[in-house]
Amino acid sequence: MAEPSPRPRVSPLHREEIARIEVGHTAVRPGVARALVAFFLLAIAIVPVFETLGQRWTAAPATAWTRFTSLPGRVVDGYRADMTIGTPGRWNRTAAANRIALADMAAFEDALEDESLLGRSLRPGAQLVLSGALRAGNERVYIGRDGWLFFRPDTEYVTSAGFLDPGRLRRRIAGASEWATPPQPDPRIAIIDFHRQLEARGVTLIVMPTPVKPSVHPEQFAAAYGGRRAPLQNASYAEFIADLERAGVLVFDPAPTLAAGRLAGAQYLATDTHWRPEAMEAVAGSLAGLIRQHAALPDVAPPGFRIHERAVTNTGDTAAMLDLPAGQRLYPPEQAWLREVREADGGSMSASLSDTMPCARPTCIIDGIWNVLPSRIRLLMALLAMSTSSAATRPPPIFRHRCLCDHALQRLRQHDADLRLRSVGNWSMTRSTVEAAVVVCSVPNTRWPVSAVSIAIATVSRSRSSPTRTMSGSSRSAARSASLNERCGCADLALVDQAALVLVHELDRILDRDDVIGAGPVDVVDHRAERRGLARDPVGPVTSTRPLVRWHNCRMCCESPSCSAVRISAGITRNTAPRPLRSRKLLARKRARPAISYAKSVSCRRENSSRFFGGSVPGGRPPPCASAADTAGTWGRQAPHEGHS
Amino acid sequence: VVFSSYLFLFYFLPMALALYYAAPRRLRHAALTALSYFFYGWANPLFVLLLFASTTIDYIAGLVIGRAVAAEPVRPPGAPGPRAARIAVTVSVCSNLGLLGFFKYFNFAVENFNALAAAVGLGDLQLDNVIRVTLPLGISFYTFQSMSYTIDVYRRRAPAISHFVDFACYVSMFPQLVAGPIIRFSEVADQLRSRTHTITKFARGAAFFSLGMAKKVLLANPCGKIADLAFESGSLGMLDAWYGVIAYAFQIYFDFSGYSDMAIGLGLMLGFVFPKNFDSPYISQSITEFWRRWHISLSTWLRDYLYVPLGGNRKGPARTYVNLFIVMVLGGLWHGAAWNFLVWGALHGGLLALERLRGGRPVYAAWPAPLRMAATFVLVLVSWVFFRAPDLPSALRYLGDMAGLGAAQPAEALLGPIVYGPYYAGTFLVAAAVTWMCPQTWDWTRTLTPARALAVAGAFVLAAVVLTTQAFNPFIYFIF
Repeated sequence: MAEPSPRPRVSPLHREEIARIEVGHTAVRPGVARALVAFFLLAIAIVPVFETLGQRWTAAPATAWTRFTSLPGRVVDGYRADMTIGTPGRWNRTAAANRIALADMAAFEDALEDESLLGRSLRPGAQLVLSGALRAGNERVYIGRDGWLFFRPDTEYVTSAGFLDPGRLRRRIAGASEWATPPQPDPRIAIIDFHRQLEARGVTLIVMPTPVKPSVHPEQFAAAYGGRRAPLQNASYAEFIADLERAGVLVFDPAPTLAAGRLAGAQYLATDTHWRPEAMEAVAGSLAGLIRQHAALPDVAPPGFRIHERAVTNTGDTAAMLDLPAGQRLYPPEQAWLREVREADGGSMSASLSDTMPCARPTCIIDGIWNVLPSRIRLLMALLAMSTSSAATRPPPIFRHRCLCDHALQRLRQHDADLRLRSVGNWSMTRSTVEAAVVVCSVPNTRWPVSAVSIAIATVSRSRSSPTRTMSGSSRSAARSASLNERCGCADLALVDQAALVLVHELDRILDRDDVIGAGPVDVVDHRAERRGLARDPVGPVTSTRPLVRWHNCRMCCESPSCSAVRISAGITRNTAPRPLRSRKLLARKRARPAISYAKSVSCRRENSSRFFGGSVPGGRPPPCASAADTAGTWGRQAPHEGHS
Repeated sequence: VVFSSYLFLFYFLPMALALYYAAPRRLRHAALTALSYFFYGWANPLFVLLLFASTTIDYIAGLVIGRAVAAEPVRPPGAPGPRAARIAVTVSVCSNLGLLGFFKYFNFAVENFNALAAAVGLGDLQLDNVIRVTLPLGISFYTFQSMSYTIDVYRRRAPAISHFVDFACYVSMFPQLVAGPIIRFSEVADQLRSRTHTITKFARGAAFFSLGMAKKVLLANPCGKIADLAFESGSLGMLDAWYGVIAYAFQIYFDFSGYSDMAIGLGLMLGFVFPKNFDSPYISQSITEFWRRWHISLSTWLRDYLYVPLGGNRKGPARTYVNLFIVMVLGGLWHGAAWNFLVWGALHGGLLALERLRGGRPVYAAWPAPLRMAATFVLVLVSWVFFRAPDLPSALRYLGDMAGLGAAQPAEALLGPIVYGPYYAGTFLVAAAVTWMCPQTWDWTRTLTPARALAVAGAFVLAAVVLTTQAFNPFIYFIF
């Protein structure tokens, strides 16, 4: 290194001298030093060598490195793509490319750890010690008493400060992405807003906050709760419910039912996050009673459901999250008796919409919902909706999501010539969205942070029951969709035929190979466009429902269940094949990126874990048509042609 | 970016060491700089531009200052330097403080402006649609380092660097880039010119790194879990509240000192000797002593570049107390743009001023040594509440819990089986034992016997195994 001359005086530095003297005088024998250095170098270098060789031996595809090598190309593509909202400029493109790079780098790091042979070989043993002798569980699971396991976010939802605490609401805003419009931190606003929009269309919203396991079974976590009968709730829960009810929202709280049932037996599976079948039936009965009170449904002939009982034995989802060695006996598989409610025959499918009990996909109003595995939510909805129909002796609910998409696909194939080419070279299919989604509501987006949404959407995308996978499978668009949706500051919910409630951006993803956000010229009634000032008239009340035959067609499309769907269905009934590690990990991990404000401490933190199911009760508006049941329902898919009982 | 991550440990580090040692001696700084920029870019590629811009400005300022002071006759003590040097150092300091101010305090300023506007009934003036700024990783550290360079050159304590790569290497060196220790230029100026690479140095570096990783993975993270649960809960009993804040004290100590050990270890592997950053701070018997042992690189930086220029103790006792208070308040704000950090700094500043008022002795100076140590620790714990709590009201609520004023909440008993379980309670006790009964890493590794080398290897393996069960856990100081 060249120096300017003449060289200034360098004053002696006390700390530096101390450092040099101390570190420069290590008392170590040469042999020991060499051995230590050799060990260290070997330890850090052998792992990548071992991983590389292991992948060659097992011929496993190294998706992590595939991601890594494709990263530059994807960043360049991202820069070139006209995918920014607002005025596309060099800075916007750079920022968008940077976001892609960040997402891909995080995905690469995740994949590297997930595919790691070292991790896969060491983790189970370490987890066995941590979960067995040390009773520590892991970052997703707490160890309870008598062989019970608890999902960490569930427990921390109960123990943490109130989710309506002003400080927490402020932190939710601050924790959002700097690229996004801050979310609405108060879930009450979104729910009440949604309720009013539905009410204006003659639809009643029922909010059902499903309790978490530690709420109902605290005694299995701490002996101190042995005599407690009331469910444990978050500190803000009572205020939350009271405010909703004051605003006229119909709230069905199943926690008291479950807590009362606790005296008769366990309401949750010991090593799983799910209710036991009998608990679900009790809740379904209560829910059916509530719906009867509030909905004037026409008389129909008894649908003649058949009850099919069978025993199922499987490892619980929380036990699987522990990543224990295969064949471990610490948390053995559990058995549950399922009482499947099956449709009598196809006749019930022609029932009028108003005859059926409501069903809906879960609506993400509160971020906590995405802390729970989507399949779990699907499970609850599918079983609960069918059981509710059974309890009320009403025709079965209608699950249309998949049919809707298949139908949209058919429409797309017929009319693709009318659709315009947009953005990154893909056909926009949004027109089908409009036909499918007859009611579009826009409610404040209460989710945070962006990663939670990305994870949620990516997980939905990974879910084998989601048609997204068969269409696109682009994780990039999932992340983008999430962040762009946040940028809008609203979540758009589409209510299809007064029955199936879906997130509009999810429909976009299903119907498009890429995002339609920013597709101003596309002939679409989209509230996002409206907010950008590019809007056309918003979608009005129900005017364009499809004829029944479409649904029948759709049903036929869906009648051949794929293995994946069966797997999900089995998962619902706890026959699920073990979920891939990666998806579980993503849900539990909170990969804080340095650019995003995260907790000062190291462990992941969760906001509230309340979960809400938006169900619609056909109200004053007569249904336009009858419909067939969708085969996306679990039991219908397993046995679509059962005869009458 | 995180030393205790799979990617860094098993991919980046071997690659970095291989490239560094494979490079010809004259290209090692270039190799190290490239590796450091890659390391930094992994956190956010865009921030690399910021680092490069900051480095370039300070490099040019350093050259200007160097030339000006080289042409200057002997400068009397206290006299200002040449005009060109003064302008250059002003540009350097302003650019660094400007970067720090914008990226670190912009959001804070907007939030407070909005709150103030709302409070005085001018809600329409609230800045709802202004940009929100992301804090670039390590900006607090590398701006301080860069400033120390130009100021040291201006003060003629170090020569200016003529090669850009050498300076970029100093600023961006990955072992200490994102969370310190703050390495002043004068401390490594000679090492940038020439340094030795010996097997002994490397072995001690490996020992430092292994022990630092063990501190982070085996002690800091489990203690952090206890602290998280305590600080996130709605309300706590007195015992649980104290348990939680002590766990946080252990967490932040082992987290940051673990990181510093790893940084020092990596530096040794690359031939650099970085000064000590921690010296068993919890054995301090006064707050003054605590600041001689805690985050030494920051406290000495603040002393030399802020306290002394403010006048230090040269302008009378009253001004000394004010200077101490100002320095600590600014030190608190340096940690984070929030009122609770300001209170944390003010608390320490007030205690330091009080001790200075009493001749450097705490109010409990007459107590026996163990009690003095305990009293100092309690004061530090109280200040940690402000440091850890997410906001000021939460900190006050937590202090109320510590005083036994908290209202019991029904779910509180759920915490017991977790935080007092064998793993967390055991880790807590081990952390306490290491804190007060074990020598610090610097002293312990001075003599590496075969048994100690074996212990180092065991700590590394155990930490690596436990690491496979843990999720992404950044170091606490990454957000400062």
